[in-house]
Amino acid sequence: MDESNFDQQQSEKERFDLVVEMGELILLNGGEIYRAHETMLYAASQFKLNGFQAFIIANGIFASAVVNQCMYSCQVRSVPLAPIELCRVEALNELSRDVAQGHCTPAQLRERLDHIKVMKASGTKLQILASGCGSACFCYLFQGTWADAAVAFGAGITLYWFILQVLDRIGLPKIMRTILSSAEVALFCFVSYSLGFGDSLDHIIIGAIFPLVPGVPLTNAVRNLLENDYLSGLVRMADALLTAGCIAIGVGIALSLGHLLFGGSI
Amino acid sequence: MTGTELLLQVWMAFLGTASFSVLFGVSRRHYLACGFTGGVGWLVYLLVLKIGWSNAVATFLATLVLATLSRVIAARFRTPATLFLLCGIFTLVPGASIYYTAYYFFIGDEPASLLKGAEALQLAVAITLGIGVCYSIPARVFGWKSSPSVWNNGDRSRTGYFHR
Repeated sequence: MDESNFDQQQSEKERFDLVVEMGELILLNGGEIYRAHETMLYAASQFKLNGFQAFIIANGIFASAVVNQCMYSCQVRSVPLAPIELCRVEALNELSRDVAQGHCTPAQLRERLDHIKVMKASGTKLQILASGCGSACFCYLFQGTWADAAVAFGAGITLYWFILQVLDRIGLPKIMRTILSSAEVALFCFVSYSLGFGDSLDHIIIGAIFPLVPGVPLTNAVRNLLENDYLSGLVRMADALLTAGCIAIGVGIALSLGHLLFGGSI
Repeated sequence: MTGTELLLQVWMAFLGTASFSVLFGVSRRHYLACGFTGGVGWLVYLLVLKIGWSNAVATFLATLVLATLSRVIAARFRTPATLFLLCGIFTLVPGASIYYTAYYFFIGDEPASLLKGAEALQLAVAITLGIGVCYSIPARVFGWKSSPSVWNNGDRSRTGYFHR
């Protein structure tokens, strides 16, 4: 009797873990806050967790449920503002649909979550190529000429090569990563421009750093603010401003360094 | 702007959006749809600018159209609309403005920095309103079976007025 009670407690705790982890993964990989919240509520009601409540902000989850009839169990997760991986959000959405319809046991859910955690949509080479292509396109959209776009293409390729092959191996804090990668891009643009490629340094740089600029975080921040979620809005706003500041510092350093090494004036 | 140039711009927006969908880790089968939403959004933006309306209005209308398009595509593939929306609005988000805000701030040109900052905020609000207006259309219109039932039993305090 005692033992089965203990088992039930354990499995209740386990189901609670699963539910919170699902929400955490959605939030981490770029899903909206309401999506994470909704998924957790669905899964909790399907897994018969009593008194489940969750409070979610941009970088954290607070959840509580009644485990073992009378005891409140509480979980707090800190979710870093990480680069988004939308294929995982898609997979999680499908998973949550299955869970809500009762097609998924806790054991299956655990297995599928572990699978989704390491899912990747594209390889390194494709990402590097996409970065170059995106930079070139945005350089052109921002009134750059074809020559500018060509230089931005090269800069975009070196940018993601630098991020994926160099910075990811060193493991620096986010601020230093942003400063270093934007400095690398700006230096590449400056050197190419000095060698006579491209027509306007300003247009080349704005295109080339486009994979880094926090336009989407800024938009999400304002979206959260207008949804009355002031805490998440401020967290994201601060993140966007800090990232933009780091990029500006990186570009500034690289340009000053370029002028020092190669001469010329701004 | 001539017709060919317009077409070229839209094509570049398509290509750029598709590229960024790779960086955002969208699964392969959705690259084309992501690029398509981005291209349509940019086309609307350019056309509205051509009428002579302001940048903010053009951004608002473009976001409205591409958010609606994202939801239509999402309902077709049974995926979250965020996938297409996040990639599609990449051409419209004030990435350049927020960069210039920080850049002018650090080189000591505060007036220019404030001007760019205000522009970035304006565009972000325009995009948000565009998304908000689109998301207040009921999910049923796009072919989803029903709105989530979870919200109907109790606490709605955490949901915004346009959360879905």
